[in-house]
Amino acid sequence: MGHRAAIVGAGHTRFGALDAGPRALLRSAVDEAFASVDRAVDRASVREAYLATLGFGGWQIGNSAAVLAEEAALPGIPVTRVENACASGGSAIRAAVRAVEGGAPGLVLVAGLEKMTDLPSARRRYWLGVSGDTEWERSAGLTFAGVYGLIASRYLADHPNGRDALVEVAVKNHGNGALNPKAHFQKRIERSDVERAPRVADPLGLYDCCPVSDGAAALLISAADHAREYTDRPVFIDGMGAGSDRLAVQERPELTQFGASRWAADEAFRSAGVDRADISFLEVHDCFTIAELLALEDLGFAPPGGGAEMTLAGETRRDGRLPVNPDGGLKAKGHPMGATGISQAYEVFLQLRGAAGARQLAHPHRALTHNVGGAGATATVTIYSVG
Amino acid sequence: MPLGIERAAAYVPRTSVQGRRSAAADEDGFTMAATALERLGDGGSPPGPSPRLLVAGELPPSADADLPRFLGVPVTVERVGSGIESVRTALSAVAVAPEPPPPILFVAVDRGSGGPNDSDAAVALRCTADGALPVDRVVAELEGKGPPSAGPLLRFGTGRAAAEPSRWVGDFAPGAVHPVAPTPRETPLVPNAPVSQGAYVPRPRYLEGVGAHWRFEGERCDACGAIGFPPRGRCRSCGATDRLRPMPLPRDGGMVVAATTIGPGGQPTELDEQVERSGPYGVVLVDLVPGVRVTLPVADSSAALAIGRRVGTRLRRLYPMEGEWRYGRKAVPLE
Repeated sequence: MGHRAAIVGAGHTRFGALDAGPRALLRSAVDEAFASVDRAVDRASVREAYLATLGFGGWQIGNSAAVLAEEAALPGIPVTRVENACASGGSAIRAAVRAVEGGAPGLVLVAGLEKMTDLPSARRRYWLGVSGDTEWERSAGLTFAGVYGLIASRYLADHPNGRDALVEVAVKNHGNGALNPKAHFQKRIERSDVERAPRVADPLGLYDCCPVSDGAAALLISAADHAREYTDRPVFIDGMGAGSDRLAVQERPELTQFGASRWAADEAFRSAGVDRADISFLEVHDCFTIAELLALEDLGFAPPGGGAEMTLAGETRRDGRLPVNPDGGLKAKGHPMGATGISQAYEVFLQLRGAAGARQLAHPHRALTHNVGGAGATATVTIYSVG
Repeated sequence: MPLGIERAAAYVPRTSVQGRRSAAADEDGFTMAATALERLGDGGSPPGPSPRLLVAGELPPSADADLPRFLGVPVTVERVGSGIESVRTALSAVAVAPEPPPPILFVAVDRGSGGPNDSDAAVALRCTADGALPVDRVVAELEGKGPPSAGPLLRFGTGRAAAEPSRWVGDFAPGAVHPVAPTPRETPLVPNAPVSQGAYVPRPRYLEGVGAHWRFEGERCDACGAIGFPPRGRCRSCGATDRLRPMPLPRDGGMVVAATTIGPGGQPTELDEQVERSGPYGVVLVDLVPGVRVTLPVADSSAALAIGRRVGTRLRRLYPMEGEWRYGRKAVPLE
């Protein structure tokens, strides 16, 4: 089907509880993205910018994309904030690809940001919860941990080996995060750490949940035909899909399947013209450990319940048949909501160019990223290859 | 034409504190009255135009507006005081209602005196011309009883109405004692912390949702037969907008399909105070009927509800918002 666009530069701040504010984080990620472009690039070649953020830092909600233009030193360019909760990043990449798809010259900047640790705990938990259904789920006392806790309870009732698999996801992703110098958590954990952790939303405990993180990531995207003006090693975007589902989980027929992810994956594979077997590794949206098992199944790599089996068989480890979240995933790398989808593409950019350092996979040639908004109300899937 | 009591129902909380049946922290006079009215049958919804609803006892002022909302039909609320004298007077007035007598609902709430054997209770009566138990006999029976409103009425009902062609149901089950730590008699209505907007639903939208939240009122599509919940005015299945009609969904007997317990830190901010006071709480997904699912908190003082269990639901207090208590249904173990 051919290439639809190319990533020619990528930048990424450290994820974690950081002193830096939203402006400094944006500037740092964007500067690193420009510096990563192999040939000299004039910032004036950037035609447009998209900012993926849910709440910026919980305060500059409106017009925050104008701040991106300021910090990227791109005065006057058209900017748009893209918001699909935790899938904002993937959705912004989709918008950027469409902006260059006709073969237009120049670059489009996509940046993602969240600054979450400035806020007092109560206000932060407000921001963490605004993307779920308010009238039924929030009113019943659920945050996203609770919604995923309900989903996990059903998964474990249907698939008894799921409990062990959840533990394995946490241990694996922390192990990967330990090799990622930009990850929020860079420490290995043991199964007993996961099992003994306090319960946040039974059956999910503290180690089943991603952390609250600050961070930003940025990509420079060109039309596929123009990519080699910037680099000899572009990472191509070959397929994209997106989907949505009913906001409240109670209105969906299936509790342990995300229709939005399934439809997005089908569209992505169809548009890329490749099969599941062609994919070297996955970056999936593991905001909670259960979400990684659902992702393997929704993306078509395992039948219902098969996500647990694949995980327990070690197939998703870095040295397994299909590595999943080699950067540590949301679980260990951190989850600054708007930045997450961009961060997944950043990892693909490094891995496909052989620049992932200690966590480099052996010769990956094609990758898939999967970004979910909330508990599956929105999702994007993107498929990449290296030239 | 004299009226008679056609149906009677009581609600006595399950929670027992030193032998006294005590309302849980998420109950108040309004939720107790609503539960008793609900038990009259058909959700307590009275047929006919603008029936009277006589209200006695310890209900918050907001109940005057909330009780008609709960019943879902226009009713005229009349406060008749809290003492037994006012109850007797009110029932006497009912007994000599003009012809043709409209149905009259009566609900009384007694929060007890705090002493042993003086339980919190709510009693609801439906009085019509066809009622088999003459109201004047009830009035005579109440002569000389003590001051609390619902207590004597409840004792009268348990001892007497059971033998009559009326229905008497309640949570009171001798021997089924659930000892818990004493709960505060009234949880103060405190403003949310300034930052807490977690489950913020503006008041007009909250009131718009009362039919779905308080009565499980869904919609049925006559074009394709699908049931939609909550009602959105458009069939989720075929898209029709003109052939939808309200459809009440069962409030008891649904099945738990997913269950979680929220531990400290997992709760939205508006429940911080509750978690501080009462600890972890349960939330369940319940299939009311196949294909219709609802998210419900587990009621205060109820044990955890596991997947596969059949549950009942009750109107309870959720959390304070905009200076008032927000109410909604919670899951309870099915008796």
